[in-house]
Amino acid sequence: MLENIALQSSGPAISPSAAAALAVGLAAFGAGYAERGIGAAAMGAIAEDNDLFVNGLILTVLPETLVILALVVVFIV
Amino acid sequence: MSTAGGSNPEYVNARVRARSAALFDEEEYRKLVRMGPAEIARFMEESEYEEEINALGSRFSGVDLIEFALNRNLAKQFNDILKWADGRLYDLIARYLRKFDAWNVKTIVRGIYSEADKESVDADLIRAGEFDDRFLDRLLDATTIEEVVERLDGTMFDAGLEQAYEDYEDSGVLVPIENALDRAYYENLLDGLVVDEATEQYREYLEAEIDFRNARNALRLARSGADIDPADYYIEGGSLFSATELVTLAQNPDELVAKIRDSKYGDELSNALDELESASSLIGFERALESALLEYADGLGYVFPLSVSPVVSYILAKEQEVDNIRAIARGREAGLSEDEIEQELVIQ
Amino acid sequence: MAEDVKPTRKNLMAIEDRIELSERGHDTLEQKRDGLIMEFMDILDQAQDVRSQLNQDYETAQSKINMARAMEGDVAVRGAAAALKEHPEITTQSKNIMGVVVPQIESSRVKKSLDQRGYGLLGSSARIDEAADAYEELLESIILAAEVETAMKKMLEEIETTKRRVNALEFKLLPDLYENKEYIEQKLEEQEREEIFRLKKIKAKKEEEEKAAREEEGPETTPPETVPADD
Repeated sequence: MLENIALQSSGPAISPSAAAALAVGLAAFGAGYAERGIGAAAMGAIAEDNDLFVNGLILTVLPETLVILALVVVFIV
Repeated sequence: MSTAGGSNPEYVNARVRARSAALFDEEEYRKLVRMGPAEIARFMEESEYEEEINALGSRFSGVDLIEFALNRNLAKQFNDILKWADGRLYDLIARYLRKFDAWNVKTIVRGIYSEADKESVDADLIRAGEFDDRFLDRLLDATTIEEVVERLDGTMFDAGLEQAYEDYEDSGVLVPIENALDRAYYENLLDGLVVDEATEQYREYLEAEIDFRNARNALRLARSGADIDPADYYIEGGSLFSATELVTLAQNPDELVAKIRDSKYGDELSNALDELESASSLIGFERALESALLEYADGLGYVFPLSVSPVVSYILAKEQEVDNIRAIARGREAGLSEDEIEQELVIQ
Repeated sequence: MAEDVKPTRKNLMAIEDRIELSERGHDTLEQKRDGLIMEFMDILDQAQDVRSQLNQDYETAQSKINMARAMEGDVAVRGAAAALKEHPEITTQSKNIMGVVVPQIESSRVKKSLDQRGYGLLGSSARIDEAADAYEELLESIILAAEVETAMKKMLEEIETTKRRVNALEFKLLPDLYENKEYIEQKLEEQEREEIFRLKKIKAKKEEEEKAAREEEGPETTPPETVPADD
């Protein structure tokens, strides 16, 4: 019993690089979810007015910063 | 396009917002009020109504052109919304837009009843509802009212219509059929509506619509003095009256007014109720009800930006725009003064 | 004309009868005319009221329907109108005012209650109700106006003919008859005078003849009795 506890506390369940990868992956998932809504709205807006294409594009890729920030984690660990 | 699949409020909202930006504002109304029918038509030609004015310009002229162009544009806008919407959003929007289905079926039935020719009935349709063009054309092809009733098998109008048709055959007047159609629409408004935080407002709006309808009809029946059972005209689903309450209140307009005053609508309608008690005209009261409904609709747009609310808000605003422009054009045609017309307009 | 009649006593009597009859007819007709005019004045007042009522009703109906068309749309108003096929029914009877037959129009099913108008209550508004109300009232006014104005027209015609008759009696027939009567009387008097004159002449001649005969016979004959030569 004690041994088990000692074993668990001695090392993390997953390696740091795996955790970093997971972080990036989750971030990308979040960005994708955010972009779904924004993208749909942007498509709607562009369909009504073509001039909104640039704005739409910028707003759509904005959640992409999430993934980039998450990438930083990879370099830290 | 259908109730299947996920809801897509983001896409629809983005498009609807762009469209509502194109609605006429106060400034433009002020300009329109000073114009004659021909000028209004020209003004519309330079706005989003261009396509409709051009398409109908050869067949109609004057105020008729304006009215038909308005109706057609309305139908196009609402059809677009129904086309874009998916899933739950579609269901919510379609609930309200089915009012045009009821309208179209009534127009077709009236056309058959009065033996009007198909073209003129066709021109009067507002193809904004859930029924697609093919279905409406099939209804138009019907030569008897019985055929129309048969072809409506399986739609939401099916349920009460058969009984109504029998009543029609007995009495020879269209009243039972028209009432059955409108009743089907109103009762479907709230039927099976799943309410969450975002749609609560919408539900309240629909409830208000039913309550106001009941109040209006009760007052009209009370005014007319005819021996009609108000229970026949009661619409289920409202929160203001129950059927038995309405029957007793319709005998006594004063109590009815008092009841409305004590209800949750009392504040918004107090001016209208005062007017109703002093003047004999129901028209002012109806107008107050309409603007109270619009106030509701106005509030719909802001609290939950990614729900059905902004879409409904747009639909109501668009309807109001059509009503306003038509009122201006018809008012000018009838020689009403600018003040009189402005008084009739409801501008948000 | 006066020369057409034969100046006989029989004719004179006939003319006197006719004069008497005509005078009596003239009086009666004059009374009838005055009566008709009084009656007509009543109807005229009524007709004026009905007319102004009609104009007023027409204007309200027009403004109501304009309002309904403006606020509900022409399509909705036309639709509501199309939902009604039943027309009001009109029956005419006739009534007698001083010998003038005037129509009496009976209308049914003009006023309709909300559930008889055809359009459904649930999907319509008070504006359409009011327009329908106003038009029903207008229709009633029109029917009343038709009744009163036809009566007025007929009365007017009757007054006109009665007046013409009175005038014909007064200015043509009676003067002619009087003229004839006078003519005949004059002629008859003249005839009488001629007769007397002739009788006198004959008498004078006879006397002269008798005188001559006496002178021839000689003095022995008794001197003739003097016949009174007066007359």
